[in-house]
Amino acid sequence: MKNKILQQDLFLLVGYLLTSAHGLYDEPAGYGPFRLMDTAGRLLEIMQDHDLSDPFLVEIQKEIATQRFGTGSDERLKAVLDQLSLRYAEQLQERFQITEEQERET
Amino acid sequence: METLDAIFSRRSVREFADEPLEAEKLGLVLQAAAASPSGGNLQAWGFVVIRDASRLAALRSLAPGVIGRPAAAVVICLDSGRANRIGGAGGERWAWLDLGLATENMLLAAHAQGLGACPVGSFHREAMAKFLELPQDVQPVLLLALGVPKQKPESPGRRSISEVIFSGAWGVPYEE
Repeated sequence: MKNKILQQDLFLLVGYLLTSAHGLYDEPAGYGPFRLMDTAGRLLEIMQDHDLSDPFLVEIQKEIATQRFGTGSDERLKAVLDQLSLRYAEQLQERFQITEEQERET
Repeated sequence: METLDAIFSRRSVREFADEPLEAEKLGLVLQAAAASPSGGNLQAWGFVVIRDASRLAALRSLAPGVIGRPAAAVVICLDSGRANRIGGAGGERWAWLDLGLATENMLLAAHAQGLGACPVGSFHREAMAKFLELPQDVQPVLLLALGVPKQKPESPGRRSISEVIFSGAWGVPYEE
């Protein structure tokens, strides 16, 4: 049952991605980055709804929500995406740090 | 709320509280649509209301411009068949304009009752028509996301009056 709901949520996200992609041919250039950020927000919502999130992702989700519903400029969005990408990179480093043992093996 | 207050304080609301929409308030929004001015009184329009949660979720997947989770959506449709049948060669052109007038009426009626709303043009038209089972000569033009507001957006700013309003001829500054 739980998987079925997750599958449905992801099914709807696929539709959103396809219709977004089609729509972007006729929309202002700034809508592209916004839609991708919105996609991240929607995916994070699904992850939270299905207990797949964690404190870092919730924090990112909140920041994305602020941007999704705000009236910021393209420049502001670009700066926020830059910040979020850098914070993500820090997390990436923590989560995928190569241990000394792994390093020896390679 | 006074009419002018409603006009000047309305904002596009994209984030909605997880609260149901009162049927009476929604009813007034829809009545406001049907009461809108119409060129030649064509009324070549139709409004499809979606309230069911799963149908709304499905609609959001076809309409990337619906960013939050509204309690209801109204899909504003052009009835080309009626426009052409009754309005003659120019009927459809007037009918398009009528849809804009009806949309503004709905936005103001929503705002005057403390609801939030946002007109949305970003959706896949053919997919939406299929989803709503629209007849061949009816097309979705805009949709309205509606609900109890969770935000009070600031004004995104407007072009100055002197830039857009002229006196007597284009480019001549308007003075009160």
